[in-house]
Amino acid sequence: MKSVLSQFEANSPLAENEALRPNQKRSSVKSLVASPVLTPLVDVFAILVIYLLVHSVDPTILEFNKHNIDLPRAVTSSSVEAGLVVSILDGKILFEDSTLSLSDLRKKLDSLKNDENNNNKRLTIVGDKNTSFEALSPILEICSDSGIQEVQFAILRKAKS
Amino acid sequence: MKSIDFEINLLPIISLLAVCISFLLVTAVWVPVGGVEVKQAVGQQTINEDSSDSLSLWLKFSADKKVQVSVLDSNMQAVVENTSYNTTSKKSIENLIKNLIKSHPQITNAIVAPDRTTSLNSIISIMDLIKSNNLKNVGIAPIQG
Repeated sequence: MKSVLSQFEANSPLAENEALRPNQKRSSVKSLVASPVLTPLVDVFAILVIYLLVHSVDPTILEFNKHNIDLPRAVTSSSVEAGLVVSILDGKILFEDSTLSLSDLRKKLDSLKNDENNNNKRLTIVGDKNTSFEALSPILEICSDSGIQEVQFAILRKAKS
Repeated sequence: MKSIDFEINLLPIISLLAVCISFLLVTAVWVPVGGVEVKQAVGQQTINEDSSDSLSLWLKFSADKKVQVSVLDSNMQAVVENTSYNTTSKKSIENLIKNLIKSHPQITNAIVAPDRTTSLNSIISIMDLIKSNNLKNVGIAPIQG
């Protein structure tokens, strides 16, 4: 069975015109019909798909900043991964969509201390860029006391100037 | 006899890849949220776990929006005395950090000691400067007392 391209080639006017000089050896004459080389195109498409798959961000990342907090900006950053999220909004501490006091946060994190789930060993602090350290310091201390090994601040990536 | 010389029809593959690309482009999330990792300077999870030869770069914020940069050894003795900068003069701070890391290769970690009033933005900016000088071990000292 002929491929689609071969069929196009056979029906094209250029291919028909080739028959005007039937005595000429076919092998010595360059074909007038340009058949596009599709292999590089497939390569480019495949690379694009791989790039998009690798660099696509997990949609759950939007959960990190669902309160539209004005995050600080930084050039050097790592990717945020799933884990516990503590947001600071207008001086209030938000954890799992509920406002908690510092003592409640300590209790919550302490209760997760012996949890086998690795995601509970990672905490992301989402704070407004104008948040004072006075509000952040107790949270860092609680994280340390609760054995949370990885603490990170959520930031917005900016290009290197 | 069946010919060995056969052509793979690439058009369906291209169509499939084009659909994949379109889908990924449409559904991709383009929010550039990242994270800056921090370690604690005091507490259970401490940053000073290296050998006694290692030095620490300390950046202490003061209430008057200044940063004091110093290098301390494991006994908290100053190897390089305080140099005070305005928090806004980032270029000067960056140059100083660069020079200190170059002249003291034993510096393995940096500790940022913010003041109560220091904003998260200032802390992240300083941490960004430190991390961009290949000093990845950056900790934050909580407010004492």
